[in-house]
Amino acid sequence: MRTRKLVEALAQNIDSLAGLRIDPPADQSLSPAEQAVLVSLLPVAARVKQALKPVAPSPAFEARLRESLLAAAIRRAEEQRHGSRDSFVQRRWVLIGAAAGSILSVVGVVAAVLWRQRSLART
Amino acid sequence: MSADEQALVERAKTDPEAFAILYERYVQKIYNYVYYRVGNHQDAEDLTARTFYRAMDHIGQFRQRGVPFSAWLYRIAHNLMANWHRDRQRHQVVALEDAAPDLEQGVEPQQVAEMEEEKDRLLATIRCLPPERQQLLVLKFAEGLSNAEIGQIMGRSEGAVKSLYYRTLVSLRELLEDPAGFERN
Repeated sequence: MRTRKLVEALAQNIDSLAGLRIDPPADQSLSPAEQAVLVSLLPVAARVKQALKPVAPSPAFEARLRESLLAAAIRRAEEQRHGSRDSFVQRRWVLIGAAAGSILSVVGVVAAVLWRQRSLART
Repeated sequence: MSADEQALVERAKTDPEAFAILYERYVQKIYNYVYYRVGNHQDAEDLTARTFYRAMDHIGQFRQRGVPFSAWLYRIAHNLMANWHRDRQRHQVVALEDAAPDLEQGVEPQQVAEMEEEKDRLLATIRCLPPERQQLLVLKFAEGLSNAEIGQIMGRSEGAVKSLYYRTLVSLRELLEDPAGFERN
């Protein structure tokens, strides 16, 4: 018996029940059979609404969790700061090492060329 | 998601105080949602805490692609509850252990007890529905979300959400009308 009109009418009535609609549901001009199904489902929805009343956590739990989350977030932020500083220091030493290595290899090549030229000049 | 909330979420990626504001904004909603899915305060507290810890750990990966921050939080809570239910492999009876009965004027105590019993039976029946139907009822009736918001959380279109109301209420009506069938389930 599920029809688009019936589904739409039910959804509108549910929104009214849930307090999400101020104006009454629009007339969907349902057939008597659709109307009968709608009428049989609305009390079920009303009972569900009545049973599922909002529940609040205890203020003590809320405050405790807030405190522990905040402490964990601050700790994590500090770790990230330290982590990024450490990695910057590490990266700087890697760059210095790479530069020194490059200079050494250039010096080595130059020295090798000069040594070879001297050897050739002697012979 | 409003511009204010977008900015807050971006700040919360690096600023603990901003995350604390988001926590205050959503803790009651997440708790309410979890409570009606697990049925007792102790597990609701545990799962609410885990939801926010996970959100804090992963907020750096949250990308604003039309999905509100609240929908992202509900999804985290939903995934944690799915794991929780899988671990337990059982349907828990709705405890509502310390929920105060509604004492309306002129209502006899016996009547109040009957109403509470009726409510517990209904909640136990809801818990026999498939998880996504339970989720739908809690998001609509306990959380008061619009169909569009529910669709974003459940990854469905608004039309699909509306159809799901129909199927859910029909199933629920059948379970309530046939307690023997309910026992068999």
